[in-house]
Amino acid sequence: MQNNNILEFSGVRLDALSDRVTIMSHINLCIGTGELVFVLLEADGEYMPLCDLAEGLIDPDEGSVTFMGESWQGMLPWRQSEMRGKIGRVFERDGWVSNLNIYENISLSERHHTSRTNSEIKAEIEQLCQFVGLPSIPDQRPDFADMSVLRRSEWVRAFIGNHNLLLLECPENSAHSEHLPKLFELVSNALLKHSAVIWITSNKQIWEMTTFKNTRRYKMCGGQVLQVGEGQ
Amino acid sequence: MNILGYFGKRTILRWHSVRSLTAVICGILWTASKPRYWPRTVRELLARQILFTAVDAFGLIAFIAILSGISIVTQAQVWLARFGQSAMLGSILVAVIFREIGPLLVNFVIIGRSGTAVATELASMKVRRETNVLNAQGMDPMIYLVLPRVIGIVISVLCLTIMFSVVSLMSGYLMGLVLEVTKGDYQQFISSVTGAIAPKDVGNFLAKTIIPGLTTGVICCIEGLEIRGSITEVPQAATKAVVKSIAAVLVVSAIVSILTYA
Repeated sequence: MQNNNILEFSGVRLDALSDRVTIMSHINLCIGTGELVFVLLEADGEYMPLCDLAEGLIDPDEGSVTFMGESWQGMLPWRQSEMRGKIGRVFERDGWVSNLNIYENISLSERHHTSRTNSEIKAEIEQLCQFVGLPSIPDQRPDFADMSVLRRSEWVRAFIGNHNLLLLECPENSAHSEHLPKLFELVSNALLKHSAVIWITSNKQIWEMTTFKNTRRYKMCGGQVLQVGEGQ
Repeated sequence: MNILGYFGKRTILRWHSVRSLTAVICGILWTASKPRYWPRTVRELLARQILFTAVDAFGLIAFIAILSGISIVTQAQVWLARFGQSAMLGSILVAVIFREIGPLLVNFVIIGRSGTAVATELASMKVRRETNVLNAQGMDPMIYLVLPRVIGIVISVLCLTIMFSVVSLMSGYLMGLVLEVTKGDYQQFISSVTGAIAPKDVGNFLAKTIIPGLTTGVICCIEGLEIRGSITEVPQAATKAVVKSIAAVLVVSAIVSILTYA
């Protein structure tokens, strides 16, 4: 394994919890610093818990997932939590804690895992909110916010701080097209800062047309992740 | 299955649940002793839990304490005076309020008021997959959700029981003055009560507030987090949490009384 590997799936197989049917198999994927892996989901396919596997939230039935050189299965719970603090994520669905307002949700992970002051964190959130076109930091509860506001707030939450890995599950969903260039810019900046990025999408146009430095494209096909073309 | 087998199976199940409850309590205490598990987000939640469980319940507990105090102290003063045993007032009040009624009533109020809220809140979070969102951000639900709630409930039960005992004794004394059944002055009343508190009463008091606080907190959190993910399970979780917590409080109270005074 190279020293700059951030995430590695080795021979991962995952069965569905309900009926033990294999939903993912032979997943071999390695992503290093400053790399982006673009994964296209099958049209009308089942939800693929690739990001949950990447974060060690579910254990594979076969194979292993390694994050920054350590296997999730071998880590103690406190170490797993610490390591997950190094990961930023945009959730495909249900990504909010409803009894906290959006600002509290955005700042929660940074406040939990880092010793940065509240004012430093708030200043960065303010800056990122302005960057993605939010007039101010949203302070309403997630249940009462517009989907576009929620989606951009999720971008802010994922890109705040200095994460080693970014997991973006369909981050383009519910976002207005005029805001997408800001998302691309955020991803580019993260890659420049040596973060590894996994972008999962069901939008074929975005998957085909969007290009960043060090991009590899994959397709989910029959529960396998297949590389398409060479890395750029 | 014959009746013996049925009771045997129930007993084994109860034993397993007591064992797992004890394990979780030990885990919480071990975790609470490590500064690493107290980042500012968890400390803030602890403060919020104390605010909700203790500060917001202050009025209700004071009201119950006043009514209990009026009933118990007045009755005690009337009957002891009638039998010429007024000197025993302090020890009777300590036995009734400080050792038994205070911890029990406060625990019941906390279970009804905060225990149900905790179980319902955590069950709703589980249904909405919010525990997964926290876990994905590196916030272990055991640390972020359970730890501050359990410790907050323990601190609240302890503080509210102290407050309950003081308020009920004071209200009883004042009521006795109003009804003109109180013999002796204020200082005499206080010294008769404080003089009747032995070191083992303090141990009994701490055990009857801290241990039930722990069991209530852990039972309510676990019942909330144990549901599988259907909205219909939320009220069931709250009901189970209340029933189990009340049972645990009564069992702990009885065991502590036997161990302390028998």
